[in-house]
Amino acid sequence: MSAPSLAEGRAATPPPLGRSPWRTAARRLRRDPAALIGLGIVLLFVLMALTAPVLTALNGHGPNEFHPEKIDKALAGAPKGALGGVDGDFWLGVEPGTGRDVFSRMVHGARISLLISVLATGVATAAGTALGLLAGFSGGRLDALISRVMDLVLSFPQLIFMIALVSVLPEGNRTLELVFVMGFFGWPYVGRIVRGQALVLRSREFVEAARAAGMTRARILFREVLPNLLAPILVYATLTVPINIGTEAALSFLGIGVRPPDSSWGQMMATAMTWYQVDPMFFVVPGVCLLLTVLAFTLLGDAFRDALDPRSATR
Amino acid sequence: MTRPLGRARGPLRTTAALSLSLVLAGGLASCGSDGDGSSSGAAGGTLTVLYTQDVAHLDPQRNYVMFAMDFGVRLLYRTLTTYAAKPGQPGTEIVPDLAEDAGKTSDGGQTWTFRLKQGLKYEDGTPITSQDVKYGVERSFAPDLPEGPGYARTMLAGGDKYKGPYKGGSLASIETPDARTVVFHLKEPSMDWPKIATLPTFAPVPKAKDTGVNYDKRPFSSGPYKVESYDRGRRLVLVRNPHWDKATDTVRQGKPDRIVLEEGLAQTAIDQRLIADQGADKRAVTLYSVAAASMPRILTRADVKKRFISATSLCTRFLAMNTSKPPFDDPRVRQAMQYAVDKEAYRTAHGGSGVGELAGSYLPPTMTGGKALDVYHAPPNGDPARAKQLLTAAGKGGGFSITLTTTSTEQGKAEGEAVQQGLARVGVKVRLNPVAKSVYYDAIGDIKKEDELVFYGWCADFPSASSFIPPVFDGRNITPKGNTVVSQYDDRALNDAIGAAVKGGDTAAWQAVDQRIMQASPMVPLIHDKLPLLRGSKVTGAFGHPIWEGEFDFATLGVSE
Repeated sequence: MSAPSLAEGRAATPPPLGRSPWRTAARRLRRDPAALIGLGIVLLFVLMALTAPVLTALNGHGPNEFHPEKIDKALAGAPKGALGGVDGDFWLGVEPGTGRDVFSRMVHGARISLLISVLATGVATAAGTALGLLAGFSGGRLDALISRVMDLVLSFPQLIFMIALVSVLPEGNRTLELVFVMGFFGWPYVGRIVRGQALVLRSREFVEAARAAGMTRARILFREVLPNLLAPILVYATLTVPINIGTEAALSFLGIGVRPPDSSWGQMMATAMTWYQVDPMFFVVPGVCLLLTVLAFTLLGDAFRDALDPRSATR
Repeated sequence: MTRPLGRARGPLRTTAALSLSLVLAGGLASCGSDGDGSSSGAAGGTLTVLYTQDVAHLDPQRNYVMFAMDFGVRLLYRTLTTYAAKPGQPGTEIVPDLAEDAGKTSDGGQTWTFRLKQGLKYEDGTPITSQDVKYGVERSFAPDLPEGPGYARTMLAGGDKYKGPYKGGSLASIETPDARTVVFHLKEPSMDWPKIATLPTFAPVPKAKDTGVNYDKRPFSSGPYKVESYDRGRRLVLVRNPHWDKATDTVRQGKPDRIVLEEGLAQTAIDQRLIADQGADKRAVTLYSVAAASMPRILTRADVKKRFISATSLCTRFLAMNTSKPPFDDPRVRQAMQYAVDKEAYRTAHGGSGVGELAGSYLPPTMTGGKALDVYHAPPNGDPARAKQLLTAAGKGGGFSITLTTTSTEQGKAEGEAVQQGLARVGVKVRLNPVAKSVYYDAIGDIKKEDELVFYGWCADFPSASSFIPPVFDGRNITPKGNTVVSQYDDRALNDAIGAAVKGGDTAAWQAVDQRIMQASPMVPLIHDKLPLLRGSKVTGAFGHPIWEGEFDFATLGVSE
């Protein structure tokens, strides 16, 4: 996971007169084909994830239903038929070894993959913003402490620590565990950006003015500083989602993600690994899904950044 | 999963096999064609054997891993008796090796006398004597060399107090009246002794050549090959032993001039090399089971499939129920599981019909004279309706939630999911508890922490139910840690019946015990294993031998030009 190239400490310029910056951004987004494509794909997958039970009711195969008639049991369960068993009934073929419907598992996998990555991004963003603001705005010892903790968390080899952490966590809801573990390792990235911005903002004239007018610290934070941070936070969060999708896939791929029989794209790819020479289709489906979602979120994130960056106003 | 079949200590050791059914089943076994082990293939050439790690022990008295025992006793050392070099049921026949016959007893199995053949020689030309056989067996008592099978230690008179030849002098219950006669005095009569005398424990070791723990690196050969060089973990080179006389050996053919064991390779890389079948790999074999992931690649290509071998071994894989706690303390719930489990789905996850026969009872059929017993007559995919009926009768019609221990590998999880989906059909919710392979047996062998369901497996050491049933089903063998009776089923009447069968020892008695345990239903038998192997196109005399888990019989392997 790497932080997107949002320069630390770049101050948000006050909005140009007349038009709200959000409206400007929305107008720019509408004109950006990459943003629209990204948004379209994201919406498609979100819709697919939300309607997963309906979709699987349509084809009539639950994600965990075995279909022994669709696989060749003499061949360790290689799917019968072309393209991994694709036909009118099984739209994307069947899983080797079990005969489970790949389409059903793919859409249910989309639920898990999107849910975990979005929630983990939420946790990281919320924690990062809160701690970053606190550090940047209060300064002094508290700032030093929080900054060192951020440095410490950032210096962990993340994937290894996630594996270790997930393995030793007590039995419980694996989805929540993944969300918190990924959130825990993600917050310092947001935290550093927010802290940098807050450091700059707190000495700006409008903050000084608010302070001189006798506003409370909390009010200054929430009314004056935070609104100026929303843009970078939004951009950062959008760019973090695809990273988290990848991380969730990696964890599932390494066998510590979702628990069987649940599916996620990473879990599907892990199973597909051993089969790629015999049944490449099974590898292609989760692979393409991962590729498209990550690409779409990245396009969208980039578009947000361009649209919300006042300095790109001249474009 | 079960204990890796390659490991001999404890669960899943090996035993005899049934083979007729396996040659027929699925048309996968290529045993019949060139596997008669008699005439095919000329002498000469180099046979390459590919393996993932170092062979743990070459020292005959420490060798207790199935395929390594096969490798050792077929190539490097001879034993008093051995198994015929034939596939299938005939391969479980005991034939004389060093001895002139398969052992004589005049008192119903308490005293056994073996007379050595004439003209037996070591690799330096010195004669093999009965004192060397005695010395070899005595070595297996040494605390420094503890790895070997325990039969000699527990069955020979005075064995409980003897500490081996380095500290304890000699063992009085092994007598050598002359250089060609060796007499064993047992604590209790046993007709299994000629089978036990096939174990490498009974390979001769001359006292002058014994190097203690270092003997592992350079065993002194009495077989057709001797060690030329051994770089542990990389490469072992065997060359002909010029003093081995084929006239004294009816079993080993000693065809290749050299045998090179390449160690430290990835199994998938081994499979890939053998599938490609290029250059020297044409005269190569894998030492152990091909990876499950390679199965479709092998079986979908006719030219490769011809070189695939899978022979039934004497191993059974089980789904064991922990009878010490609910819900499996109720026999009706346990019996319901016999119908609820989807064995076919399990087998597919395990590698398909090429790697096992569906099991209807615990004992591998070879141990019961080739006759397979099916007690519940459940169809391959199970009978959920019948299971539901039994559960309802037991007051569990609403289902329940339990945990199943499996290995954390992709295959272990796939096998777990196969069980999970089978039991879900009758409202039983199974949560998987994946455990790393290296600690799997510690995890399930702890009787306090054991989950409700665990995968298990067992291979016998020799083709007798007495090395299969008692360690797995006799409640008196339950131990708090490292437990082998993983069902924790302890029923006095059953324990007594097992005890009686051990003494009586006939097939009918064992089959009755098998039936009886099936009715008590502490475990669901899943499959009787077959070992999937692959050979190069120029390897001759290749077949899976029933005794050593279905491993290649190294007595007959050769290479052609």
